[in-house]
Formats: sequence, structure tokens, C-alpha cells
Amino acid sequence: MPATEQTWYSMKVLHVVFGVSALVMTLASIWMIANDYNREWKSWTLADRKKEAWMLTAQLDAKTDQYASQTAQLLQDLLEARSQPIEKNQIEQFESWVNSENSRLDRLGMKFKKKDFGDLEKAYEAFQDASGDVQEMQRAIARQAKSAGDASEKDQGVSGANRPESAKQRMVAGPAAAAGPGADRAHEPFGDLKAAQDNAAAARAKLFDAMGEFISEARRRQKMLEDQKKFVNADRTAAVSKLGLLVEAGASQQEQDAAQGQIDQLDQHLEDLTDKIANSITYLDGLVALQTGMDKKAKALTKKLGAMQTELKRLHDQIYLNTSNLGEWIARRPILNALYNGNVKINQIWLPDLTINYNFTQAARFDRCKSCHRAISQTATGTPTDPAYPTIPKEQRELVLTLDTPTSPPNAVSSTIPSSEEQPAGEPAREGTLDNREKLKRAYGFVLADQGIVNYEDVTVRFVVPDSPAAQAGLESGDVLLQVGDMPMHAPTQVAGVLLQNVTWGAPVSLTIRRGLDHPFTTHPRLDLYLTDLSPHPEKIFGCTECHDGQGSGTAFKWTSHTPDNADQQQQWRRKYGWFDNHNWIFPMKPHRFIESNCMKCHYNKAELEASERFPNPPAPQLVKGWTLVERYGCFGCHQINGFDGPNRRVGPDLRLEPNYHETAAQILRDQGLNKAERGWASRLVHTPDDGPARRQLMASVQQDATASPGRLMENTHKLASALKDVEIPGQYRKVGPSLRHLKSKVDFDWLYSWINKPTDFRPTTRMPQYFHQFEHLDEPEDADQRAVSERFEPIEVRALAEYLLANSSDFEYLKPPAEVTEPASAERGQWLFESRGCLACHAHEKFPGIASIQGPDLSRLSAKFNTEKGRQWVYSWIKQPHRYSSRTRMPRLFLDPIVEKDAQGKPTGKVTDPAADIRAFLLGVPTDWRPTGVPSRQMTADDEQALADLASEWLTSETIPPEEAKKFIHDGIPARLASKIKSVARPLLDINDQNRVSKQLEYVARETIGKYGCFGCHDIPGFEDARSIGTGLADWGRKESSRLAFENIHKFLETHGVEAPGRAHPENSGAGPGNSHGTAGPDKAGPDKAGSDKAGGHGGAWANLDHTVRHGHLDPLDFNADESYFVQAIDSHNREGFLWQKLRLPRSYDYKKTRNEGYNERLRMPRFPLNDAQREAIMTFVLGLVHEPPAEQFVYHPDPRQEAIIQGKQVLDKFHCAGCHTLRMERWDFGFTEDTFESPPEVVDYPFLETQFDEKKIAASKQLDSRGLLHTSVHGLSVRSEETGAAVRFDEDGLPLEEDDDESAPYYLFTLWQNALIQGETWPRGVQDLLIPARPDGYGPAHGTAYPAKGGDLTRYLFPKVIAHAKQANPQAKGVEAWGWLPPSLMEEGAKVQPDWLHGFLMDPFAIRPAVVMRMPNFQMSSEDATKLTNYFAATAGAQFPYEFRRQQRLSYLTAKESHAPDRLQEAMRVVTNGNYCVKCHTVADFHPQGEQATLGPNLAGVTSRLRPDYVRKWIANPKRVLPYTGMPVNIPYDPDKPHLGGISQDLISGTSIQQLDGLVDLLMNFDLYTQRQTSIQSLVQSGAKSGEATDKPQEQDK
Amino acid sequence: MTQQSSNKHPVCKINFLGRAAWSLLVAVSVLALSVRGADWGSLKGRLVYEGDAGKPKAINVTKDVEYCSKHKLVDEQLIVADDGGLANAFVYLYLRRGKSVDIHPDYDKDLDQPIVLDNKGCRFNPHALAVYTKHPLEIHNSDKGIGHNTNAQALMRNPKFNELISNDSPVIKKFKHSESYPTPFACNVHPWMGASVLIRENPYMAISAKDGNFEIKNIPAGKHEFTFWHETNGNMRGLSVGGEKTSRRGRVKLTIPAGKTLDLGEIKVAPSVLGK
Repeated sequence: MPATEQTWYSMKVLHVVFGVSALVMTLASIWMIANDYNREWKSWTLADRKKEAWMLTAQLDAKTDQYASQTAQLLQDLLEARSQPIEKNQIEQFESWVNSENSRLDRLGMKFKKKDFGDLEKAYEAFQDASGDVQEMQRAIARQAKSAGDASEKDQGVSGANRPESAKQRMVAGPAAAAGPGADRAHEPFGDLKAAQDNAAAARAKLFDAMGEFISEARRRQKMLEDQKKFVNADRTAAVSKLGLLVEAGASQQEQDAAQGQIDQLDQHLEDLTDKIANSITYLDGLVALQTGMDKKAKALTKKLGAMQTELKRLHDQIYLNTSNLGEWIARRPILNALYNGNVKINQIWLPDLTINYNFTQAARFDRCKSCHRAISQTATGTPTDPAYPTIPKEQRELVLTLDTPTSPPNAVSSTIPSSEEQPAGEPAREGTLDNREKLKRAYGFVLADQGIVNYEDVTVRFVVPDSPAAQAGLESGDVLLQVGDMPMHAPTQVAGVLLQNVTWGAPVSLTIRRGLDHPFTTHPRLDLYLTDLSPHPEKIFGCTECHDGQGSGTAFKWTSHTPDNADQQQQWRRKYGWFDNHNWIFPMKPHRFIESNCMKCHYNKAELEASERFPNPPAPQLVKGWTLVERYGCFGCHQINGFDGPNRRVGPDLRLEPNYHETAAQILRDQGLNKAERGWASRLVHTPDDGPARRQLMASVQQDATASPGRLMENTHKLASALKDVEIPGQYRKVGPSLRHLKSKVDFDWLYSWINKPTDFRPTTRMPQYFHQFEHLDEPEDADQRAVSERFEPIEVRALAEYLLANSSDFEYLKPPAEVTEPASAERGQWLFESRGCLACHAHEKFPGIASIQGPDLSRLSAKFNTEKGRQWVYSWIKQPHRYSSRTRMPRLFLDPIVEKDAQGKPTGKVTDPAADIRAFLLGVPTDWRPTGVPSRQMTADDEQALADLASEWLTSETIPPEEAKKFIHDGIPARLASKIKSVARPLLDINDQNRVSKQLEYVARETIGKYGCFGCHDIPGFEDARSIGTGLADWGRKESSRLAFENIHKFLETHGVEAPGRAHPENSGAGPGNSHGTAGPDKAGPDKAGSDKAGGHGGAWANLDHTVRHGHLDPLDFNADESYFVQAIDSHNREGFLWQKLRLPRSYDYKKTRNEGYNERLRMPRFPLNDAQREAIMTFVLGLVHEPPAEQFVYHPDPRQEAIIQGKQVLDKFHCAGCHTLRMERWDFGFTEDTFESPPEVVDYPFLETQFDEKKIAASKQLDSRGLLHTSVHGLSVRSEETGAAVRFDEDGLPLEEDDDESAPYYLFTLWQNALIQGETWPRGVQDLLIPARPDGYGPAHGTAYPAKGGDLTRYLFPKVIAHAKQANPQAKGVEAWGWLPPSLMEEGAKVQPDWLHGFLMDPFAIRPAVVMRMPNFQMSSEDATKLTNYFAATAGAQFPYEFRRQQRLSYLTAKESHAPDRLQEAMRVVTNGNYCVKCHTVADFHPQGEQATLGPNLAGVTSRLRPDYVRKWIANPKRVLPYTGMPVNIPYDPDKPHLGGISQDLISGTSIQQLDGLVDLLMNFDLYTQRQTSIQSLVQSGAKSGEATDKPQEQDK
Repeated sequence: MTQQSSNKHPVCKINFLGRAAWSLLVAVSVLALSVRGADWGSLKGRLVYEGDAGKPKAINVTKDVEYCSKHKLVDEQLIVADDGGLANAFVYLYLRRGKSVDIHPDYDKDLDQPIVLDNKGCRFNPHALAVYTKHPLEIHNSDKGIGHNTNAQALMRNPKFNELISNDSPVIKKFKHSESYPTPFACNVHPWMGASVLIRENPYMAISAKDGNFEIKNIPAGKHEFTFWHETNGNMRGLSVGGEKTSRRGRVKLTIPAGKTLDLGEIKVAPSVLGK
């Protein structure tokens, strides 16, 4: 029907349409407004404001209460101060100054207003009278008080000692404390006193006014003079420019002179004025100082009062900001709130550069988290990083405190707690509680709030009076009282009822409290790291979601993608907040357990995340642990973790294997066709793979040969050449397993078979994972066939591997014992050598239970492995020179050279021992009953051969080679015509005959198997130099889509097998049991998983998820413990976390039911690593953080050069395990202490340059008391240890070691400072005195503080008591503390000590320095690059110059300048060095060797020139103890400013003051080479050489 | 020798005199105030070792052999007379930290007289030494041409020091605080050398002589705690002194009678007390 006018204009219809739509729109609008108005964040904000107001009010109340008594006292003091008499002479002084100024001005003839002293003197007299009255009255009161006191003493027998004090107190406190019994009588005189004091104060004000008149007159004069000066100055400027014009105009000399004269005159005038001004300033300042001096005390008191008022006002203002007033309340109504909503608004951080990936586009982040988490970045008042509302761990939230009750009912208690009559501010008290509130406060010292902080009904402590019983019990503001005794508390009145009536007086009562707030009212726990402006991640720059993930723009709990940490929490959240698993948001928040993963978005080096000087609390401990485990287990051998996307773009941590240059070179060396040059290059490469020139030359040479025909070299060599090419960014990691290139010279078949078969059998702590015998997934009847296949083929694989590795090894030449050795090997000597030469820094051994390093393998069972002829030879060669066997081993060369035995006087006894042989004797002499088990005969049975052939055929079968043909090839060999078509791995099959069939088949299977399991990821295996890693790359695994994860039948597996720790499954008997349950679970097999996830993905929302869980009822997360529940949940929802969890636990379980449809060689290959739950979770933290999602460049952590050096160095330190021996960082103790804990540091007279000053700010901070009345400090060093056990010793207050069962006195630790400490504003220098620090009652460390452990030096501390015991065998007087000097030195300040180039050289080629040490720095054969990194690291940590250092003291210009004053200074210094009483007493100097025990001797002084930094040498000689607290080296040149030559030594020996003598010695030692050079004349050598050269032809002899 | 050295350092002398005068003043005023302070008593006794100490072991001289081996050096840790008298044991008044005691005016005479510790014949002479802090300690080296150093590494409340002692000028040390226990002094050049030095802010201490006798004079009468200490094993615990056993800290409470001497008689020292 066509539209007519009617249609258009049917008003009725239109009205209806309009009406309905208007209605709909109205409703919609209302709904919209209502919806908008009721948004979740608002209620959180309001609740948080309420909390804030509560807290502030509590603070205000506490302060008001505290100030009430103080204010009265201060006011009283102020009155007192103002009525104090003023000495007459001060007024006289004032007058005399005025007079002398007046007469001075008179003399100068200046006009001024003179004023007489009439008023002043009158005012003074009036004040004196008033003040005198006050004094007299006070004396009267004192007399009265005394007599009253005496009386009461007699009456009550109160001890006399207390009395005067209390009387004094009352007197001073005056009316404010007029509550005591005797006060009434004194009341009246006090009233008079007050009036008199007021009177005096007024008189004083008048006096000051009178003085003020003189002062303002003086000020006026000064101002006048200054004005005058301005005018004169202007005149002078004009005169100068006039002169300039005259000169320009060529005026006559006369005119110019006149002008000049004018200027001079003005100058004179100016000078005059300047003088006058200076005088008047002095005068004014004098008067003012005198006046303020009189008023000093009153001013200070006024200031104190002012500060209190300011503080109260601050709190008032803050409370106002957090309470809603009427205007705000109205403005917050619907619609109005669109215009203005006061303080209640969405709090968002806009991060335009820190973008988020919104599928294909990068969008700016809006983090609105702070709308609910309002207090997240709030610091506690007065601290930079302490949280205002700390998150308290669950287990610490409920506490039981013990509260002391008064000895008598509180009604009778005359309060010992100062209290005010005023009502605390805040809301008015409820009816009836007023009395009780005051009573509670007086009796116990706490006040209850009328309502809880967040929950209205909580019985909550409002504030606690300092030093009251409640404060001593530990009660704090905000604590919720749950129970008093056994009675649960529901209301404040109830508490008062119990505590004021129903307690046993004098007996303590227990209070059960709950402390701390829930999210979102709490503060971030690490404000030192995050959010605050002082932290490295300020909230304005980093926001929240970059680290936490989640949906930052959401403002409701469920829409922000919070992630629960376990099933319980999930359940709770679902109930409370309607939480659901939002599959649509691809960045759900990280659960608490993996919170550290995201650090790796910006931090690509492990060291950046470790504890440091600035952040002693480790920033990301779990992540670092995981990272370390990945490094340790060498995951990157199979799974590349590439941190680069192209050469210049960093995307994450980089864990890749180093290029295989050395392996390739070793393999090329097998080629007999190499020429001499190629052989040379290849050999160099094997030992120093970073030798670029050798590598490139070798590659070029081999490649050239490849183009020649016929070539000299083998085809394989040509192929390998390409593996020598440059790599853009080479990986940094060595393979974690040992090299197998020379394996046949080390072990035999039986051991090897057993090892491959099951590594943990021989060494339970091994890192080698288990590849075989994992049948958990094959234990069902249906899988019996599959399992049989495994059990048949696996032994063949193991055998093939063992045979291949032995057959393909290269030869190895063992080391022979040196000829000079006279003594047979001794296991006893060997045991001490093993212990003391440093082996335990990396290895564990059951004979040494106190220490267990995991850097190297546990060596307990070595005799079972190496007690063969070749084994013994190998062990000897290995411990002596490990790099001979494997150039990439991290085991260093320990310099186990023959030891010439010496007697006590240091003379050789003629005996020579061989430490390497001794250590071998020890290691192989420790008996073990371990034997290889289950090793088949090396001769194969027919069945074995059949299995081998079958496995080989299965390998060979492919699309081009059908099974039948494969079988034939395996038996008869592959025909030569196909040689060019087959893969290289199949080459062994080319010419098979009856003799070699089995071995050829074995070789073929072995090659395939090695390729399959990727053995070359950890080991150097001949023939696999160019093999590629076999696993999935992990660089972006943390974002891998879960749809691409093959969950397979894992759900079913867990249902049937349970979630128990791996290794507990019993393959033998589990066949029947799970089979049954499988039967019942059978029907819903296969499909549901997939359908489930589809559904969850499609619908989203709680429904789908609930559905999911219900259908997977067999695997309900709630059935498991908290940790497991999380992962079961994650598997249920097909999350990465779940997949990874199971993959690390039971990698082969993903083959469950899958094996039925796939070939043997298609099965999963991932081995099972011997990890525990915590280790797996740590590794997961690392892997989940590999997201390949670098933020914009400016957010990535870019260290400064010094930091960079430290980070790079740490990696090398880890690689060679330097911390095994050396202490890299001493312990750090941060603790609080009371003011009387420490006496002042001892005064020492020492060289001025040894003094260190802390800056003002730190000094001020060190004097700051915290809220508990504690001072704080941070000290670095080591607690004093027992010489017998090496354990830290506890001492009593007198410094006597406490015995175990001694609880008579409080324990202390004696702490040796290794850094100057700042305590209570005073410097405690290193090396002067140990600190006696109160110990915590329950373990190691300081009371009220934290002991951060030392980094490194485990072996040093372990050996400390042992070397003392060992030394005491020879010398019973051996001193313990010096034993630190016989052990590896701590390296905290190494960089400031040694010269960089020396250290670099030393690291690459270490030599013996200190004769006293029991072990030597070993040779790690490290690359120059690594040595450089370490050198820079040490310099950077010590704050020293690097990479170069300019040493002025070694420049000729410096020496010449010095010698121009004292030409013989070096000679004189040499006299000291060579004097029998000084240096040579203990030190070797060039070719001179002193006599004595090794432990008492020092390093060669000739080496100082190139080794030490000059500043260090100077400090060291000045006072060695101040550098190294344990050193035995004495002060040789003492410093004493009161003695002749500043305390220097005999002038006959060396002239000058002690400082000059010291500098002379330093300059000599720093220029020892130059000095000796001067003693030798080369010229004479040349002349005699030339002469003899003419005559004979033997120049060499002349050199000698 | 001592006289000379004090003359060499007039500043020190004046200082000590000044201190002495001041102390005297304090002592006098204390005396004037305290009536009971005038009552003084003494303590004496003899320590007898009950075991067989045997001959002291000869020292194996490893440094400056020519000179030092002339002196027939022996290990001096445990020196017992033929009749059992135990030498070099310390008996001294124990005071809690921060507590003080009246000092008899006799002790404040000759305060500038130094107490001397000599390096002589490659040993410390004496082996055990008590230093009242009002006296200076002078460390000498009487071995001509032999370098010694004195290392007081274990001082707890006074600054540690380690200085070379030359023949020509002694090292002078003034201490300010009490050490709770005798402190080992050592020489790093000659590792066998050792001495025990007790530094106290009061003079109430004695070192048993070669025959085991010890005496502390003019102690304020009343109950005091005394510590018994020997170098071999530190605190002499379980010692039977005046009818009581010494505590694990080697302490026992004794009442000093006014105007008399408390004679403890023979105190038997079992080998276990010295850790033997």
C-alpha cells in the first residue's frame, strides 16, 4: 500500500510512537544514569576514604593526647623561661655598645638620633622586680614541697632516693600535674606564682621593646647609609662615563684630570661609606645577638609549640580532604556528578608511550587500578619507602599479645600515664563509654574506636599511649580485638567491661588481635622498587599493568582480569566479586606466584634482578632462581632462547649456546690431510675459540681446498668449514655437560651403559636428565604392546649410544707424574689437599658434610667409576690439567705441582710429594659398593640383534624407502649407487658385510638416536659439530597461544593417574587399578576437552567456566592443595601454566594414549629432569616471562656504564663460580637499637687522610628515632666466628662467648666492620673496634633487624676453623683471626686495590702472590673478554677508575718535582725497606727472601709497582688494619701530631715527617722498577759488550 | 729508662699530673661524702695446680733463629711451680658495665709511672700483665736489632692496635675503658710470642706469682664479685673459693671484711678447670 498523507500525518500513531519512545528513552536514561552512578569503583573509593579518615583521626587523637600534657609543660616552661632573671651585665653590655657607637659617630661628626637609657633601665628594673618575685615564690614552694615530702617519707617509708626527684617533677610540672595527693596544699601559691610569672613575662616584653628601640634605630642608620651608597654609586657611574666621553672627544688633559679627580673623590666617599656600613652592621648584629641570646630558651620553646600546632593542623587538613562535606555530598548525586564529583573520581594513569597490544595496533595504556587501590603507593609518614598500610602475610595477621594489668582496680589507680582533661577530637563518644574510655586509657594506655576501619562492627584500637602497658604489649593503632582471654569481643563497651572489672589484677591477660587490612586497602609491599618517585619504577611512568598485566582500563573487579593464585581464592572471588575467567582478554593479570615473570619484559640480564647494594632485599628471587636453573640444566641446549630480533633489537633474555668453533676445529684436526698451518690454526681454535684470525684463516684455507680437485681434505672437513663462519651476535653459554670427544680414555662400557640408562643411579644429584624407563603413560592393558616395544628398543638405543661414543672418541695422551717426586701417594694427604686446595668450592663429597657446592658433580662415588687403569690415569691428568682434556671445561687448573717438603725453618727435607697423585689416592680410595647394574653383555644375543635390525629398519623406513626395502638395506647394506641420495646419517649402512653388520647397524642407530634426543645440546660429541638444537625455541613461549599447545590426553591422564609427584608411580602394579577407573571414565573420552574449550571461548562468562569445571568433575581443583589446585585449574582451562607444569613434571605423559597410533621414533623425547616443585615453579616463572614483547626503548633497563660493567661481570663471576672461594660482599646488618646500646666510638689518632666523613643528611638520619623509639643503622662486615667450629659466636654483654646452655645474660654478636659505619651520628671506622650488637633471640642476626647474608666465600668460611686446626699442629700459638689471611681474600674493594691491567693479566695467567695462603688462585683459562669483564666489574663495584687509570705517582714529571726538594728520598725509602726491622723482616723484595714460617711472610714488594694502585698502597702502609681488619701487618710509620716529625720514625733512617716518610715509601714502591733501573748502568754494559764483541763472539755470556 | 722516656714527653707528664690531681680531688670528695668508703680490706690466696703440668714445651724457633734460640724459649701458657703453685692466673674485681667502685687513695699515687711490657729475648716480659687505666702502658723492645710488633687485635672496648716496636722509642698507650677479660697481645714476626694483658678502670686485680700467691689490697669492704681467669682455658669455672664454687664465668661473690684481709688459703685447681 502506497503511503498517503494519512500515513505521514496520522497524529494518533505518531503520538503513540512518540509516547512509547519517550518512555523507553526515559527509562533508558534512568537506567543509564543509575548504572553509571552505581559503579563498583565508587564504593571502593568511598570505603578507602573512610579508612584514610579513620587512620588520620586516630593519629590526630593520639597526637592531641600526647601533646595535651606536653603543651601544658611547654607553656609552663615558656613562662618559666620568660621570668628568668636577666644578668645586669648583659644590659650593661648593651648600654656600653650603644655608648661606644654613639661616641664613634660623634667623632665622625655624624648626625643621628640619640636616645637615653632611661626607659631601658626602668624597664629592666621593673622586670627584675617581677622576676625576683617569681624566684622567691618558687623557693617558698620548693621548701613547702620538701617538708611535705619529708613528711610523707616518714609516714609511708618511701625510699629517700625517689623522693626528691618526684618533688622536683611536681614543681617543674606546676599546675598541669597538680593531680598528686600533696598538690592541693600547694595549689594556692601556684596560683600566685602564675600571676607573678605572667607579670614578669609582660615586664620582659617591655624590656625587649625598650631594647628594640635601639635596635630599630641602628637598623634605620644602616638603611640610611646603604641608600647613600646607592646614590654615590650612581654618581660615580655618571662620572666614569663622563670621563669616557671626554677622552673620546679628545678633551684637554686638565679636563680629564678634573674628571678623574671627581671619580677619585667619589671612590673615596664610597670606601668611607662601605666602612661605615660594615661598622653599623657589626653594631646592629651585636645588639640583636645580645637580645636573642637573652630570649633563646623562650624562642626554642615557642618553636616547639609551633611545630606541634602545625602537625595538628596538617592532620586536620588531611582529614578534611578525606571526609565528605555537604557540598560534596550534593555534588555527588546523579547527573550533578557529571559537573563535579569532588574527590571521588576515577584515578587513572595515562601512559601514551607504554603501549599495549590491542590486536594489530599499539594503544596507549590507561591504568585505573588506583581508583580502588588508592593507598597502593602511600608511604608511612616520614619514611621514603615504608608502606603506609603494609600487606601482612596471612599467617602473621592473627596475634596473641600479653597485656599487663594494673596491680589494683583502675578506679583506685592514680594514673601514671599523663592524660589530658580534654576530650580527644573526632566524633563524640557514645553514651556511657566516656568514663570507661578514660579509665581504659589510664589503666592500660589504649583507646578504642567506636567503629572499625573498614568493617563497622570491628572492635578496633584507635590509638595507644607511648610507653603504656598496651604499648609494651605491642598493641598498635588499627588492631582489631578479637578476644580478651577466651572471650570473643563484639563491642567496645564489652572490652572495657572485661578489662576494667573481670581480670585478675596484677596478672597478665591475653589479647587475641587481628592486624592489617585486606586488599585493596593496603599498600604495595615493595615501595623501594615500585611506584614511589624515589624508586626505579615511579607509577607515573610505569603504571601498573606493564608489570602486572590485566585490564588496566577496567573499573570493576571482574573486568580487570584479576587472576586467583589458587582454587580457594578463585572460589572466594567468584562468590564475592563475580569473578570469571575472561578468555577474551589476552593479558590476564599474573597470579601472585608468577608475578616476577614480567620483570623480563625490560630486564634482559639476570644480574639486574639480583639483590644489590641499593636493593638488599632481592627484587625477583624466584625468577632469578628459575633463570639460574635454566642455566644450570642447560635448557638452551635444546630450546634456543634468542634475545635478539635482528642484530640491533633486543627482545628478551639471551640464552644461546656459543658457536661450536672449538668442536669444529677438533673434528677438522682428525683430518690427516691438513697442512702444518691449518693444523696450527685448528689447534689454537680448540683452546681459544675466540681467536678470530686463526678461525678465518682456517676457514678460508679449507674452503679453498674444497674448490681444488683433488682436494687434500676429506669431504666432511669441507662441510664443516662453514661452521667456522662469523656469527652476528654469538651466544654466550657453554654446553653444560662434559665433552665426550675423548671418552674412551676415561670410562668403559659398563659404567657408560649404566649411566646413560639411568644417571641418578650412580649420582643421585646429577643434572643429567632421564631419557629412558619412563612408562607412566604406558601402564594400561591397552598399552601393553606399546610398552613392550619400548622395553625392547630402549636397551638397543642405550647400547648403541655407548658403543658409538667409545668408538668415535679421539685419543688422549695422559700426563705422567713428574720425576722429582720421592714419596708414594697418600690418601690422607690427599684428603687435606682436596679440602684445602679449593676442590670443595665447586664439588661436594660425602667425607665433607659441612659444605656442598653444586657447581661441579658430587665426587663421593668416584672409585666405582675410575678404578680402572685408564680411569686412574685419566683422573690424574684431569685434576692436574683439565683443559688438556676439554678446553671448554669450567674446571680450572689448580697448579698441583710437586711439593717440596720443608722443615720449620724453611729448609727442604728432601721429600717431594705429588699433590695430584695424593688427591687421586684420596678420591679413588673412598670405598663405595656401587656397581653398574643391569648392563647386558657387550656381546649381543640373537634377540638383541633382531631388535637392533628392527629398530634400524624403523629408522630407515621413509616415504621413499618402504619397510620391506628398509629391512633389506639394513641387512645387506645400502647399494653404492644410492650413496649420493641418502642422508649422511645413513652413511654407515653403505657397505655392510657379515663381519661388520652389527657394528654398522649400531652406529647407524646411534647416530639417529643422538639426533633424536639431541645429546649434543649438552655434550661435545664427535660427528655432531654442525647439528641444530632439537627443541622449540622459547623466546616467546610466554605468549604462546594455548590453542597451539598440544594438551592431547593429559586431562584424562591426570584423572586416571592422579596428581602426585613424579617418580612415585609404580609401573609394575599400577596396571590394574587405573585401568578400572579408566573404564568408567571411558565414555566421554577424546571429544569433551576440545568442545569445552570451544564453549568457554565462545560464550565467555562464569557460565561456561562453571560448566567446564562441572564436566571435569573428576579433576576438581578444590580437591588439591593450594599449589596443585592452581595448576589443575590451569590445565582445566587449557592455560600455558598448566601445560608447562605437567611437561616439567612428567614430560612423556603427553604421550598417553597417543603411542597407540604412532611409530616408536615419533614418541615424545623430552627427558625428565630431577627437579622439585619449587624448582619447577621457578623455571616456569622464567619461561612464562619470555614474552618477546619489548616496550618502547625508554622503558627498557639501560644501565649506566658502571652498572653495565657490574651486570656483565656478574655473569662471568657466575660462570666460573668465583663466589665459591671469594667473598664478594660481606654481610649487611640493618637494625634498630635503643639510644644506650652503643658507647661512642673510640677516639683514634691516625693519618688525616684515613678519616671518612658521612654527609650531613645521613648523619641527621642516623640520629632519627623511629616510632618505636629506636635508632637505625646499617653495617657491613662479618660476625666474629669460633676458631673451633667456624660458626658465629654469641657473646654476653662483657664480650665473653656464651655457651649453648647459657641463658643468664642477653646474647650479642661481635661484628667486625668491613666498612666504616655511621651510628647515632658518629663514625665507627673499620679496623678499630668490633661492635657488640644485640642478637635476635631466635636465630642468627641482630635484634630488631635483618642480617643479609654474605655473597660468596662459603669455602673460606668452611675452611677457617680447619686451617687454624691445621696450623696449630705445627704452631700451638697460631692465631685464629689471621687465618682469614691464609684463605682466598674477600674481593669487595679489589677494584680499588689493584691496577686494571694487572688484574686482567692475573686472571688470564694467575701466579702466586702471598706466601701465607694455603691455596692458589687457579687458572680458568678464561678469555680476554671474560677477564676484561671481571676487571671492570671489580673496579665498578669499588667505585674505582676503569678501564684505564692514570697513576701520577708513576710519572717522571711527578718524581722529578718531588726530588727537586729531596733528591735522596727514594734512596732513603729503600733504606727503610731493606732495614732488618722493617719491610724485609717479612717481605720478599726482588731476590731477597726472609726467613720464617710461610704464614708470617708477606708478598714480594717488587711486584707492587705493577700490581697495586698508589692510593691503596698509601692507605695500606699508613694503617693496614684500617684496610684489612684481620691483617697481621703492623703500623710501621706511626702518625701523631703531638710528636716531633708528626710521630715519624728515626731520622737517621729516613728524613721528614711521618707523612713525608710514608709518601717516600709509596713512591719507591710505585717506582721500584725505575729505582732499580737507576742502579744499573746500561751504558757500561753496552761499552763492555761492544768491546768483547770486537774480541770474541759470545754476547750471551756477557749478558749474564 | 722509664724516667727518660717520661722526660721526653713533657706533654704527657703534665697531662697525667693534671689527671692525678683531679682524681685525687674526686677521691677526697668521695671520701668526704661516704662514711663507709673509708673501710677497706684485702684479699689473698694461693692457687695450686693439682695435675702434672710437666716441663713446659720448648718453642720451635722459626724466625731470627740465631738470636732467639739463644734464649731457650718455652711455651709459657701454663707455668706451675714444683710445689704446684700456679703462676699467671688473674684474679680481679668484676663490675657490671657502667658500674664503678671507690678507689683507695694509695692507688692514685705515682700515676705517671708507666706499666712496662717489654719485648725481651724474643718473648713478652712479663707474660701476664695488669694495667690500671690511670697508668700509661709502655711497650719496649730491648732486643737490639730484632724487629718486633705488638698486635692487640682482640681489644674489645679500647681501639685495637698493631704497631712496630723499635729499639729507640717505646710505644705508649693510654686506655680509657675496662676490658672485661685479659686480652692476648701477640707479635706477628715471631708467631710464638704471646702475653695476656688485663686492662681495667680500677686497680683491684692481681696476677698469681710463680708460687701461686696473689693479693689484692685495699678493696672497699663489702660483698664483691671476683673473676678467676687463666690463659689456658679462660674462666676458671668450678673452682672452690671460700666455700663457694666459681660460676661458669669464673666468678664468685666474696665479702671483704673492713680493715682485715680475707685469706682464701690454698685454692685447688683441678686440671679440668684449665681444660686439660
